[in-house]
Amino acid sequence: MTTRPVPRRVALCSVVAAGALVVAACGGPPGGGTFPTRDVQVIVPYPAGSSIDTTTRALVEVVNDQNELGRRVQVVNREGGAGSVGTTAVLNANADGHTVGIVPDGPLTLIPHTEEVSYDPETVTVLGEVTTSPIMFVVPASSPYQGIEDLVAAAKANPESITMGDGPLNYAIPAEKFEQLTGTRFRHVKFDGDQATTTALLGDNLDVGVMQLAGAVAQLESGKLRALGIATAESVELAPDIRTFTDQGVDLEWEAYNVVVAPPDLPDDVRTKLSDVFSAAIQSPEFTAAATDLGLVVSGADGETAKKRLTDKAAEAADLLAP
Amino acid sequence: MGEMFDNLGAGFAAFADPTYLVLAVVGVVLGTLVGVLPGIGPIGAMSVLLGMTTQLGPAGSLILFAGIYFGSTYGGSTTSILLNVPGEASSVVTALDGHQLTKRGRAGPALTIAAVSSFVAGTMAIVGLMLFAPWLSEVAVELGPPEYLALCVAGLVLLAALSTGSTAKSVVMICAGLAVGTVGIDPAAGDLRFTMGSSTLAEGFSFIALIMGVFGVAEALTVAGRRWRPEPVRAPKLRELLPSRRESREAAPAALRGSVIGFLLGLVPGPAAVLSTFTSYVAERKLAKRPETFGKGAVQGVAGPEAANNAAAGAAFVPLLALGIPFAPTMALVLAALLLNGIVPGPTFVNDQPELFWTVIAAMYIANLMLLVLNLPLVGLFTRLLSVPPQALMPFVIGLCVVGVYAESNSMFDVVVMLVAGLLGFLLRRSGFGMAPFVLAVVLQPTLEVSLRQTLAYSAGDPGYVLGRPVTVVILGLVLLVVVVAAWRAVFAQRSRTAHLPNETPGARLRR
Repeated sequence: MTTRPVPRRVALCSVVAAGALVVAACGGPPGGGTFPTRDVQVIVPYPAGSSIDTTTRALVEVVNDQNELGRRVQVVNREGGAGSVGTTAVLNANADGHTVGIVPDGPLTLIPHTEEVSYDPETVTVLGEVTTSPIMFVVPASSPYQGIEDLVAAAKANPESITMGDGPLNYAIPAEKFEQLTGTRFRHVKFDGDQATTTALLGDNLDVGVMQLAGAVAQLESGKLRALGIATAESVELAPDIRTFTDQGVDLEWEAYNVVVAPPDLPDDVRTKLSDVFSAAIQSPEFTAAATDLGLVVSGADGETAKKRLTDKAAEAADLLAP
Repeated sequence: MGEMFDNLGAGFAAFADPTYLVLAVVGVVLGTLVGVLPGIGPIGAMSVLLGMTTQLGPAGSLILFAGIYFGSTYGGSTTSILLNVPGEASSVVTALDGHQLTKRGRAGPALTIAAVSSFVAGTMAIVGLMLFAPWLSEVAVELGPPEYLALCVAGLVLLAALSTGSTAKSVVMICAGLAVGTVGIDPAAGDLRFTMGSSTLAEGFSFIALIMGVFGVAEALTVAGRRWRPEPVRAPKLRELLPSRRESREAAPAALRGSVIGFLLGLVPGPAAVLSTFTSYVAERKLAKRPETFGKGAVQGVAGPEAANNAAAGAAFVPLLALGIPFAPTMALVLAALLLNGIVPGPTFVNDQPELFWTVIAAMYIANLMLLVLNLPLVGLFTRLLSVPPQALMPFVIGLCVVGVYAESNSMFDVVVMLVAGLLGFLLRRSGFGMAPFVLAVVLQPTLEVSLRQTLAYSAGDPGYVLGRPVTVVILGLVLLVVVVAAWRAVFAQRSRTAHLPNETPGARLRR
């Protein structure tokens, strides 16, 4: 390397080269032909490593192994807006089947009641239900509350003093419903997801946490946390020891769903093909094993059933969220 | 204890994967390069590479970044000693006696002492991290929102109060960083803030784009605008590297003291690496049998500060991995790399991700050893790099930034954000605004906001709640103390107008 004036040409070339790379990355292949003409993107509205991301990656691995589409399926993370950013990206994409999403129900059933969204949850194409995850009330192992009755009695004795960790609408709404049903008031502290709630419970900085089974399963098994009640109709197979709310005299049922969605007005043949491919993968033993490890209940409900459940949940939420 | 060695063994076993070994080599070489070249530093190098971290995975990115970080502290001392041009702010003190040694023809021993001291300190810091981080993690689970709030406040306030340069400007940049961080979805309630109806802004400004802009692009622009003249360097030959027996005897205890000082200061919020070098230098001068040799080529003046900045670099990983809070801008970048991989460090990190934690510890041992082995024989090669005009490298840096940020999220909007941030950063730097407070504020903003809101919810409006949390009270009390002392010293310094500390050495204002 000798000393000479700044080589402008080198500088220019490198910028041009970098620019060319960017342009190459932007340009999409042309459409046409029978579906799929290129790789299919699955958008996940939460960051890599979150439970829905792990679920999706497990499912996509099965889809790619079964290779019914003849093209690869790729996972793309578009997080933010409590899931609404990624959901917006899926539902406003071209309705050609090359963009689908695996999203939690919140952006479809709950967020439209409280926020302005640039999609219509009524017209969404629902391809199927992947997993369900029941909501639970969880306490530290050292907590004095053994069941829902203890908690209600304590809350009635000292209103607004027991701290309850919630946050996303899928937790805040059942928490609110619980208060309505039992005539209690808690002191609500918002936590950003199950991991933060778990840490607060373990550090004795929180009395009760509202969580999904998937987020609590590891700490429940290690005995550091204890579930007071689970918001399902019947006890779930994954955790048969946890009593339901209904069992303990509080009529609370609340589940979060992860569904496969696509833009509205998907052509019929594309819709059928995608439904078949994803249903086959969801019902495979490989995926069931992966989901069970995560504490998720494999659903496998078809598109129509899933859509009906979403509509029902949205209606129920509308009642609860109404001022 | 036995379990710890098993874990460490498993960590080293991960390096059977040649990719990791290659990344470690690339990291230390790159780190040394940016350390040698004044102008671009470890933060710039890390921010340019941030776009690659999702491809590298969490372990790969940590290995690469640790290599760069340690490498830059080694490389920075080389130019301090040979040229009196500190490559990094943390090597400014090394130049004082290091360059005097060069003038006396003892450049070789000075370089060896710097490298061996760094190695000793680096190794001690890793042992400290190994013992300390898991312990701190266990304790940290008990910390609630008020403690996190206090730690975030401490990190930001101490950075502003203790950095060189204008405190007022640092405060302005911290506020700007916090303000930029609020754009997008509200972390607690899910409301959209300052998005002006744009769904792109709903995700908020991508902090990778911001960091790559204000460090990568702005730094490249700054370097490109600087007048450049080649430095005549004569690198010592291999056989000239050995220090005399007397020099070794004087350097060894200084290096050990420097390691301890550096490690302890590294655990505390604030610009620890730079502060630790000054502290160690002052301590060595006080303890020396012949304090008059300081400033004229005392080996303790090289060994102590060089050990201190390396130990501080290692210690800075403790709060990051155990609490999830970065106290320094470099650690903010390491945090960014982890977050991009979906890993949120915090009290549960060491238990939840033991493989990752121990692989990183092993990576640090390997990086330190590689640096010792690589650096001394290659001093000549590295110093020759100083004859490359930096302007020639900068277009590549900017090109890498553009490709990297686009590859991260496939979003042209992020590229625009990065370029605008780069241009603004360039202009602000010219007016003496530091970018480190800005970046630390952007990265800490979510934690700060969430813990503030949670604290408010817990207290239900009762200030007594915070006073009932002893840890919070202690942290905030110490912050207050530092601020008062810093303010008092500033007033005092203005009155007496005497610079008793070598704050204004030639390179002191070079970077920042």
